[in-house]
Amino acid sequence: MEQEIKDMKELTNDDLLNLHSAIQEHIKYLREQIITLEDEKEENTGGDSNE
Amino acid sequence: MNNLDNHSIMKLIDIDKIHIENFVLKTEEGTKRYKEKFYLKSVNDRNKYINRQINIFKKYLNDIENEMVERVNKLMPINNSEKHEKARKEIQQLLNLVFLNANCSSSFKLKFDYIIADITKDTSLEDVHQLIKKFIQEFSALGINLSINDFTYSMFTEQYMRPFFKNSSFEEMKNIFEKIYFRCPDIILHLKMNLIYILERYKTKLDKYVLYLKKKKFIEYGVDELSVVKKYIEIRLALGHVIATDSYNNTKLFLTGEKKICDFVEGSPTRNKIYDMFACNNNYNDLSKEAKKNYNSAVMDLYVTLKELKKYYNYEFLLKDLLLRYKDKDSHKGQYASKKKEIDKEEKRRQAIYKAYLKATGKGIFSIKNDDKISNSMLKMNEEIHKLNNLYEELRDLEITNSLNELSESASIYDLFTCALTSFSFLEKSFKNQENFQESTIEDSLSKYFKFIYNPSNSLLRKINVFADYDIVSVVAEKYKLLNLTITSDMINRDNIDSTIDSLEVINLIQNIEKSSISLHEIDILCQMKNIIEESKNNN
Repeated sequence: MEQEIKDMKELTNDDLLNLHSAIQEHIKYLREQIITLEDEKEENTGGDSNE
Repeated sequence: MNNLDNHSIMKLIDIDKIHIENFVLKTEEGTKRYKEKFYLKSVNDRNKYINRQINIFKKYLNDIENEMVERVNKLMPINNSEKHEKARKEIQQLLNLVFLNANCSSSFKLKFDYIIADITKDTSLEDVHQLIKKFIQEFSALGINLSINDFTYSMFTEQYMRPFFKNSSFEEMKNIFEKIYFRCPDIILHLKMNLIYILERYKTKLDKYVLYLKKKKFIEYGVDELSVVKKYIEIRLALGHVIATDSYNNTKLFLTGEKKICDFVEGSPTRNKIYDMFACNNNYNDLSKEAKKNYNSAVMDLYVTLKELKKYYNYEFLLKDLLLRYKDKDSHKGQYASKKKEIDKEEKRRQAIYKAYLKATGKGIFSIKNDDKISNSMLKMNEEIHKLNNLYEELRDLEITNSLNELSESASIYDLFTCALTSFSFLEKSFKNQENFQESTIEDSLSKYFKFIYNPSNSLLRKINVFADYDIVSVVAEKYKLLNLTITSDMINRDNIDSTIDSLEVINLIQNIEKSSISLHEIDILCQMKNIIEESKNNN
């Protein structure tokens, strides 16, 4: 983690902004990858049970 | 591959995706129940992994946002507002000196005319009371202590002011006013004329005070009659440049949302459209490097000129009136002097009425009180003051025409606007009758007018002869056409000047930012980072 933060400090402003949006995109991707099982769906009508 | 692709977090993202895709969720082996159990376990393991990763990346996001806070603090230009405010105050002091040096009366320079202008037939008694108090205090500040002897313009002003000088409360003054009112419904007018009369009476003293003040202030600021305007213009131009190119102010325009950075950055359709609008052949990018340089300079100049032209439109009504009066001035020759003589005669008559009144009240040696004569004097005084008021109105109307006689045939628009300063009453009447200025006080309107006259950028007004039959709009349009700009009279007429100025303001701001210590790109970065930080704060 420390290395990543160090790397982050060396980024240009543009790259820092791009990295921010890349992570946001990735978090969005990760959330989409969560599989909601059928019995959980019945228990939790509507919301994302895995979050 | 750029730096970002090589970044450890970007690599983690790629690894993460591969890892998630490689999770085996189904098996072909075993019974149906085994297969179901296998699937459930695999999905749970995969979901657990994903949730763990979400938390890790959220932490990265948080670290980046903290880094952004640091960068925003570093990138944000220094706020020089206090420094600018101080400089503005100094410039205002210099403008006050310019005003002290201007060709206008001492009562105007010392602001007594404003006090009197505020007394109208619609002014409440309480306000009149306060205004008289202010008038007396201002005189006292100049070392002239007014007394009841200065308020004997009529028996009614004397009756009202005697308790005033005895520090009677406003409630008591109200009772006195009511008593006087039935015998003199024009008491407010009498009081107003008394104040005007005091100004005339102490004119020499006021002139001497202005002269003393002017000398003192000129030494303090190291200027003289010839250099004061030049110094004011130089300093105002310099500060104007500093403020226009101030990185903090310009950045704030975007951070507060007043301007949209996307309309200003290079390649933006709005920016391109505006640059093309004024370029010859309506294509800025087709211009050579040299032509672009000339275009940028001409467009900046046009922006300043149009700002001046817009202000000129605000004051055009004065110019039109002054020109009509100028054309008619010969038919009023000598009238000002004869009107003054007429007033002097009537002022003597007024004084005689007052003396007769005093005698009738039994004041003085061998005087016996006579009620009939008292009533008669009061009636006569009311009539006389009405007459005098009309004569003063006529004199004030002739005052500006009298000043116009001093103008030469080669006078510029600026000269004519400056000439208007010689008559406070002309300005007061003109501004009060003008719809655009009715919301502001006369002091505010005249202060803006004065700034307009001495605006460093009003070269146009100083150059154009006021008596020549020029159409100022065409003169401006033609000048900038010669500098290869696309500009028409229609674009800068009264109706369209605002939208043309708005467009030019975009180019002006871009050029000012280019001259400053921050770039448009950096402002763009600041805006984006600020938005991210704000959004993150709101989500937490």
